Amino acid sequence: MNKSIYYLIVFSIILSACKKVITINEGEGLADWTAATHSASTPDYTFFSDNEVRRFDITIDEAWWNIMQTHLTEYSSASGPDDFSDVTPIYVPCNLAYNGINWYNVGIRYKGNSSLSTASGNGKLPFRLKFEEFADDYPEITGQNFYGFEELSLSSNYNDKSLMREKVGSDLFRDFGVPCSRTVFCEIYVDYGEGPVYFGLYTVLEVVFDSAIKNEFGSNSGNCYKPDGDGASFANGSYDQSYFENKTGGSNFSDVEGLYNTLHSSLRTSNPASWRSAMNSYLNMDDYLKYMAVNFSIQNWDTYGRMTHNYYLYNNPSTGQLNWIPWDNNEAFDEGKQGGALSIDLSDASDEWPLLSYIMEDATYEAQYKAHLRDFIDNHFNSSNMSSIYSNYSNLIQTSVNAEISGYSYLTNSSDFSNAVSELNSHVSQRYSIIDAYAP
Amino acid sequence: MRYIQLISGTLILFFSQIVFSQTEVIVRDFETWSSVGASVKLDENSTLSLEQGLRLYNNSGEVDQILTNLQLKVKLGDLFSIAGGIRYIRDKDRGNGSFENQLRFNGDLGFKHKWDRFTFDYRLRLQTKNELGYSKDEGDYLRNATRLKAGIHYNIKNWKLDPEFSGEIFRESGKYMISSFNKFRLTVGTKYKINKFMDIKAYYRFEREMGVSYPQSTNIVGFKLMFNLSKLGHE
Repeated sequence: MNKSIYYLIVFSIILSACKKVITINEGEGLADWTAATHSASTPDYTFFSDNEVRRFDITIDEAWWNIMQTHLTEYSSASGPDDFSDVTPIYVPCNLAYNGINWYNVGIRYKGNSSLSTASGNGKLPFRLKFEEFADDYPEITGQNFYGFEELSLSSNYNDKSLMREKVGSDLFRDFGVPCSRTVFCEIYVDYGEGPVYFGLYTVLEVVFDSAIKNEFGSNSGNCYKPDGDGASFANGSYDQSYFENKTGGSNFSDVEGLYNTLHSSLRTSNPASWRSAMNSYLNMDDYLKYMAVNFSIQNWDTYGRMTHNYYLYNNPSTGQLNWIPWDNNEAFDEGKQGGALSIDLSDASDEWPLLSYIMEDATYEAQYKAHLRDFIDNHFNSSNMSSIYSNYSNLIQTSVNAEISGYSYLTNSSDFSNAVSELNSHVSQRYSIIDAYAP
Repeated sequence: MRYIQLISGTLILFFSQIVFSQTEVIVRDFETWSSVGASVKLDENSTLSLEQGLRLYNNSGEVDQILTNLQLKVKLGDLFSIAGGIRYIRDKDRGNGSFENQLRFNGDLGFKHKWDRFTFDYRLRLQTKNELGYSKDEGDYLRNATRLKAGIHYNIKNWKLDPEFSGEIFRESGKYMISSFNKFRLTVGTKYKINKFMDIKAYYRFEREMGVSYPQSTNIVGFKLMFNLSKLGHE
């Protein structure tokens, strides 16, 4: 009997020392968590309204906030603006409140290139939110998203005193049938230990490789490249896989390599029809020509043609074609920097940008480009239509713009905003005349 | 019939919008730590030791760490000592199952005093660890820890298995992280002198994480076999 008790005690001790696994349900212990708001399997696109200004209240522990600033300072001083984009800022946890509902331990980091490295002294910087980033540390947030969106991009409307270029640019691409992220205006308040500070009016975008491609193409299982660097120009001899970061994780680069090889194939001059057919097998050319029409109409210069970044290529599994997806349109509707926006006939696009120069050397593609330009200015980008859009958005965001405070704004005086909106109206008028003459 | 179709259609639509996620979290484990090593006295006050260790986790069924540790300890009078060590660790990433190569350096300040049959010892350890083969540009930064240990040993008359008890708390720090107390250890054990060249130490250790939502408790049984090469030399 005594022996049995002894064995029982030993057995109990061993058992209580062994491995124990518990199951944590999503949102366990989190008061505001609901399936519809925090773990929906399909995005709720009503968030991206054209008629409302959203408000995000972000709370970051002061210690984490200081770490964010240290990281930003060290990397922006160690790296020049040209290679700043090589560094990915670190994520820190924050709390996000929207419409009285909280999202917990959301990953927040700075994002961007020139908007980060050259915005010295201005606290209105772009952010990226990733809702499940800290699930390893906080298992209860496993599966957390924001109405179905796993990530959101918070554009600071850098270098844009109208604060609407990002949104209007994206809207125009989408309205003309070019795949592009949806956007919504959003007031951002950040409490980093000193109470809520109004960081200004931002534009929230859905992230291309998260929800945008899934919504557009019905799947996000294909390769989704974010080209960056010399290879992103597709110039002869520039191709290297390292310039094509695949955001969806695949390791087969045959699609983008095939596009490069076809682009530079001798078929282009020897048999243009075969070349066009081969090009279309790799790149959705009609959508690409639509993209060109919109992009060069609105003088969106901070992308292909001047800069080797700010676009995605998504391989739609159902067609096997890459699709061109514009990104970061906050510097559109402007003559531009870095040599300025390209002319509408793209005569100034050198062979360093063969996806423009080779296309324009092909009479068939040039004709299609012109047809799309005509369609675009007839039905979208004309003074009548655009002045209405500018007016509506101007009225919508006026209060949020007026509330911007020094140190968290790109506005320098009270008339900056209205002047910038006037410039947008002048811009569309001038561009219409130029395009109308080029594509009668 | 139409109502049934309508209701079932609505339910399917509703549940298709929702994905239930569950995560399994280990809150307790049983580990075995074993090591074998040798020490040699360099002079009256200095001792150099080399140890090879193996740590098993997941109910002691899987290799967690294989480590090699080299340490030099110098006594400063009767009460104080300092030590420096370097440890190469082959550490399993429990997430993906791969092994990482790490290097750890530590510096110790020790204080020991006796009272009657009791011996009290305290140790402050500063250590820093880094994964080999990765740079800070790839997100790999030094992880530092400050460790404070307090121990008590009782010498029982005419008894070879004198008990020892110690407690240790860890404070982790590093670049781009918030310093915090992240775990503590409680250890009870004894040391048995097999002969003048060899002794074996056996212990039970309880370790618990701090500052996380679901802290893991670890029950550890450890053995340490040490050869005293100085004694061997004198023989």
